[in-house]
Amino acid sequence: MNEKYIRRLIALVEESEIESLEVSHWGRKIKITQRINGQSAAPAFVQPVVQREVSAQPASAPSPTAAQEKPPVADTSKLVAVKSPMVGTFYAAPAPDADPYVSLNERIRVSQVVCIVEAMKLMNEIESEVAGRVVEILAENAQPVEFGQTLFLIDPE
Amino acid sequence: MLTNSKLENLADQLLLKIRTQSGKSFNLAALSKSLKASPDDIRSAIEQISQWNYGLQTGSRDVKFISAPDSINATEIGYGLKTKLIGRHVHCYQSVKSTNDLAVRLAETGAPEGTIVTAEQQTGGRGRFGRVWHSPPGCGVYLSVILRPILHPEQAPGMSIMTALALAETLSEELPGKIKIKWPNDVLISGKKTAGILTELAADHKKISYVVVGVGINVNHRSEDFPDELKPIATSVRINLRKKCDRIALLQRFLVILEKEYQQYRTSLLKNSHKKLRMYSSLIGSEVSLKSGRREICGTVVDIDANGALMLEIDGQVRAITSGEVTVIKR
Repeated sequence: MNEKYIRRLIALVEESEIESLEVSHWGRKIKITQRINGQSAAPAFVQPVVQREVSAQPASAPSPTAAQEKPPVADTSKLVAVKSPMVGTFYAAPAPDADPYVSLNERIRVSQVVCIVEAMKLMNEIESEVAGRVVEILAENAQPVEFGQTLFLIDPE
Repeated sequence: MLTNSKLENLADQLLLKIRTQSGKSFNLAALSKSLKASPDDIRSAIEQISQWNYGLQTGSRDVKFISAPDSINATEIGYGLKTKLIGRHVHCYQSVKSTNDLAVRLAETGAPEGTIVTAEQQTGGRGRFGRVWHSPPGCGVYLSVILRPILHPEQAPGMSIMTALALAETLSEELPGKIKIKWPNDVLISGKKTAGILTELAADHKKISYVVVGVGINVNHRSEDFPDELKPIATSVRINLRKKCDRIALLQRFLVILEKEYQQYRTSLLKNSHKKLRMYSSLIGSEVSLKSGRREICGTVVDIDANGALMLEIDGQVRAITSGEVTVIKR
């Protein structure tokens, strides 16, 4: 059970929705767990970033899994929401074949355009009020959005 | 000798003095005195005005205005313009990528409300989502207006409809009974598109910083001026009027009507225009398909509501639609 093998197992877990995977191989055991935080009860506007925490430890040195679980890396309370100022349609890109204004994890500047909200053919370029990293995109391209709906969460820097 | 910019400046002032409808002659010596310029400079300025394609009759001692060129310039727009706000600051260009882009830049740097940007030709005229708006030189009116209403951003989308209405009213003066608006803001003559509107908003969460209303009107296009793929769906004022149309006069009337609609919008949104919106609608009573992103729904247009939304009846239920691409299935 070499490092490469363990890495592959971690990747498998990360790609999947399963919470934990236990593998034994020639008497050595490995358990990989991941936690997907806060998906259930939290309403959209306070929904924290989906965080996958993968911890792998050999069974020969068993320690309680809980102890290995670190608190979420980002402090979700300081995330800044970019909200829709009107009812309309959300567009992630300036044209259907163009790249989106911003993508996940991208660093953005103050006043950088992050999307368009359109209503009655009026195009409203939405700008970020803070500089930071895009940690979540909560609207889908070409889908309707409501007044005050959170479109992006920005981790300010 | 004057520098180029000083000469143009003098020519502008001179033009304002002699630009009359009455065919009055102006004494050169008197002009030289009142404009505080040498007789030679006055001669150069007259030469400059002629180069702008104005028709002037010059004698040894006087000058007379004969005709204005078929071009959209600040002097002509300002001459006899009956507005208080819109068109009081004018930026005219020969050929630009997009008047909206320039207007947005001017608005960002503090240009006052009512500032307009015009161009004879747009090389990259934009429709929505980067679609190209075909704008050959000298035929159309390409115009962007900067507005700064004290309204909530939520109230801005109706301005798109307000502009379409102003345009429909303007064109109806030329072609009564032939003008329709295809919701929300395409203006049609006898069912073919003759004008398009692109409105852009800059706002924070509470208030509007500015709205740029961009308008492209096919005025003096002949059928052969349209590329083949547009011929079945596009038309111009000239094609329907069967004669050339004075673009400056049309533009001036549009600015007057737009200003009137805008004053109303600022106090009561589309409330007073609701009746007219219904009258101009090309869609009421039609069976349409509405495309929004990947979704497509079909229904019957039953009305336009007081906010300018499309009232679409889908399976017996009426919904107010504010976004999407409408295609008529059956009239």
